[in-house]
Amino acid sequence: MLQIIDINKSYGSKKVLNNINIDFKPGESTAIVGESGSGKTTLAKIIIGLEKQNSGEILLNNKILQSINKRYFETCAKIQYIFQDPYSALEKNFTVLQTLNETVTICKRNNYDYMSIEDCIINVDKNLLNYLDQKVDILSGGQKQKLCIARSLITKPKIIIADECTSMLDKKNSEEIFNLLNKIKQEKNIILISILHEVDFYSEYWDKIAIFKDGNLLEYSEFKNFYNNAKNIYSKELIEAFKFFKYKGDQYE
Amino acid sequence: MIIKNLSRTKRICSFIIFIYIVIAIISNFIMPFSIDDFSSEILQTPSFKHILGTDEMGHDLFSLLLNGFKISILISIISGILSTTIGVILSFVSCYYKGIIDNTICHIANLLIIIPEIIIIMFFAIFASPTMINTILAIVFFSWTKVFKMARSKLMGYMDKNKVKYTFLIKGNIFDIFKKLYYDLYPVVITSFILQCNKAVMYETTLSFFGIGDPLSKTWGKLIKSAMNYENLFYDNVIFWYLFPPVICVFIYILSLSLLIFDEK
Repeated sequence: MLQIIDINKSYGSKKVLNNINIDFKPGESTAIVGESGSGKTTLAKIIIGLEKQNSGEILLNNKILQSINKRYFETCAKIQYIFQDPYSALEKNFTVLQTLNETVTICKRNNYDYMSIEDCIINVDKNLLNYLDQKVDILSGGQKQKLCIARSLITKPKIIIADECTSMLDKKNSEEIFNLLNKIKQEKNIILISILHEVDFYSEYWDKIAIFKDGNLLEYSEFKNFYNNAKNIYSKELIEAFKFFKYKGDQYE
Repeated sequence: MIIKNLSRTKRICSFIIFIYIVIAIISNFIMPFSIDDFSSEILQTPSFKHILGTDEMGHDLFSLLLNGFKISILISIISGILSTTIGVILSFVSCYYKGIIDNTICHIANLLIIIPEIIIIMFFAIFASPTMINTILAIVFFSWTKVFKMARSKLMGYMDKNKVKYTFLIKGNIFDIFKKLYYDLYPVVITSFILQCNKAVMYETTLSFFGIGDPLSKTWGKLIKSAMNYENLFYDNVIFWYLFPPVICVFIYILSLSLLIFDEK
């Protein structure tokens, strides 16, 4: 269970996060939605430890998480981050096997329990097994993102944070990725936090939704109820905009 | 396969360097006289027996020139490898640990860069005993800074990349990061290695010319110095077979190494 308690963060005089309180439960997927600059990526970075909060605490199973330098490997490996851009997250001169082996070696060095390479690839996409000896460079964008997900599964994580992980992919591939993440979430009972720019309110991938605006958490509710029962003005605007584009799309069809 | 990608100039240059290295390797076998042998008649003009004539002591000049290939290229490659390795390792250390370690190494490197290196190398070589190892160490000690600066500026840009961030996230150590950035750093390493080889020959020749290096190792610089010391160098065209061959050897070596780096398509 991941608890975020009274997180404050500011860059200089600009406030980025303002008293954020969220509880994430295992086996629950949360969509964090907001504009650019609303502080959702900063929150993710604070959770994984790349940034340090000004005040407030983050608890994982009632233990305080420190910044990345002071963290133990165990807590580090429990939280996995999937980057927005799979092209920059993978070394393109490595083979697929080398990429996955890197994580395995680090797990072995730290005496940490890990999943074998075959298992984690079968969990994600069986086709990747044919590419084990190929360079990462020749994989397509969707395959690269799948490889990133496979890599993050090796450490048997408790939390996966996907930071706009489909923004560089086409519609079909992003749906595959979301399905995959959801399947993994249900099988392994992990916390899935997904940061999104645009959200399809009809989709069934998410259990909870959190709306961010200018560093404030405006709304945190069940995803199903949100579409009909949004309380906040900004949330209503979001839904209106979604309806408008959906309607426009239907007209073209 | 690699040769196909090179431009014509680079192909010619690498061929010349290849020939230099081959000559350096086989020089012991094709030397007509030993370098210690000064039993020949002095100051002979070129003939079939002595291809470049003899000097005022009775050494065969062609043998000395061939011996110069061996020692000069050995010095240039050893000091090139050493200074490149030290520079790259230090740049990795300073980029990985950052903070006070990075500051210290940077300050030392800056200090070494602002001092005119050839003067310091000369002092160094004078006070140390004149052996080849000391010459190499003096050259290495003052030339790793340029490799360090080049590699560090390149690495600092890569430290913020997502692939490196991932390694930090799962607590990878400095070797994991080295493995990941090796391919990105490869061009810088090769370029600075060639540059250092080039510099080492120039330094060594300059040192020998001032009479500071190892007196027993007959390098091109030593040959140039003894030619310049000979009083009657300008009579009877002696200059053509005494001074010019080592000068041309040094010149072509430095030129081909430089063109190998700086020639752009």
